[in-house]
Amino acid sequence: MIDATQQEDASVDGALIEQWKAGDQRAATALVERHAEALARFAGRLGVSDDVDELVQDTFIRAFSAMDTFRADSSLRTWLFTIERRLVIDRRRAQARRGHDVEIDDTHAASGFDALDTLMADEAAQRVAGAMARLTRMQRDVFTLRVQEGRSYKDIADILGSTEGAARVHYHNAMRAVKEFLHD
Amino acid sequence: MTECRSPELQDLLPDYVAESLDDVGAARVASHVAECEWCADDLAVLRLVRASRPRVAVPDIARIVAALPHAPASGPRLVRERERTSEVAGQRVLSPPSMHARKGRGQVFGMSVWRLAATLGVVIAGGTSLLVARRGVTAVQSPAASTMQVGESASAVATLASGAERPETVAVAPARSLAPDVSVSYGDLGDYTEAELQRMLDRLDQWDGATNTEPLPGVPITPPSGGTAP
Repeated sequence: MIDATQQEDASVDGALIEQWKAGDQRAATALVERHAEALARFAGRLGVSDDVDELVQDTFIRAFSAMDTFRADSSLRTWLFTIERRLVIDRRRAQARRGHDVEIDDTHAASGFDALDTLMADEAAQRVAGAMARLTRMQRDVFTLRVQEGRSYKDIADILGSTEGAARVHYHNAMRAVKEFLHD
Repeated sequence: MTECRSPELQDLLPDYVAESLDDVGAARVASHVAECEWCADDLAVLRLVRASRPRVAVPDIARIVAALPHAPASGPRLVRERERTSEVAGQRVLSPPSMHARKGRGQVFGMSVWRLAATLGVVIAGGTSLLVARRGVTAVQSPAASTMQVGESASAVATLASGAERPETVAVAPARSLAPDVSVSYGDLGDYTEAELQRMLDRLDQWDGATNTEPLPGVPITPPSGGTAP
């Protein structure tokens, strides 16, 4: 079944990229407007609470500097997520070298999602946050990308450096855990 | 509650919630959810999770755009940078050395090979010439000498360098046999006594071997099948 929305997004992004390559700087503004909020949201899911704006800006700078390497076999947003996630990993490694106690291992249970609690107002949202906090980092990344960002398994595999099959397994395990927590 | 038996449709639930399916796909999922209690429960959870998307402050678009590199068509600086480096997904990678640099190394290597080959050629040719020259002092197998031996079948003195200011003579030893070890001495007429020279002249007078001005018949000296000259 065709994912109509993502195909339309890819078409619009492709046209804007070509305009920017032709020298139209307004196309760059349009591209940033289309994806900046999603990148900020994804940064929050990656456990980044400080300097989100700077992280999003760095992501766009990296992306536009390497726009010639962008391939249309994945969507622009997927590619941006991939760049942002790698930037976050690089920052965490740099912090670890400086002696900060940070979590790098994707399979380790994360506490970064706790920062999102303050963003959720009602009780239902708090319960969802509680369920998500019980997931491993990989399960949570897959689940949020699939459910909240509507990414395909292929996109998720590209973003997280995994496989489609592994992403599907992580999604279903996360779904089962969230349901159990919410029904208790 | 029994688990869903249509994993393909179950996998599409997040897309259905995100309203990213086409009409046909959305209708199939809706029909399935109406019959599958498991997926109906999943759908309720997914809607709750999606509604719980964190609200974040939109980043400063103008500041981000101002920091972006210029488009390739309007920014020659970016083009120059791309010639040297490329960034792939945030990783700065040095580009391979330019073709000019590679060609330069190839030229240097090629020149070295040619120089070495030329040097070896000179050494081999020079060494061979030196070896031949040293052996030639005691034994010369030049075609001219062989012809003289066969033609005269006796000791003789022949002037080889006709027209030269100082003619050289070749003294051929008495040919007791046609063995190739003929000693040849290069000397001057002054090395001979007057009596010896007179004897040589006398022998020449007796030699009935005046040069025939008629051209030789077209008979090869050496037959094609090999063998000795006539």
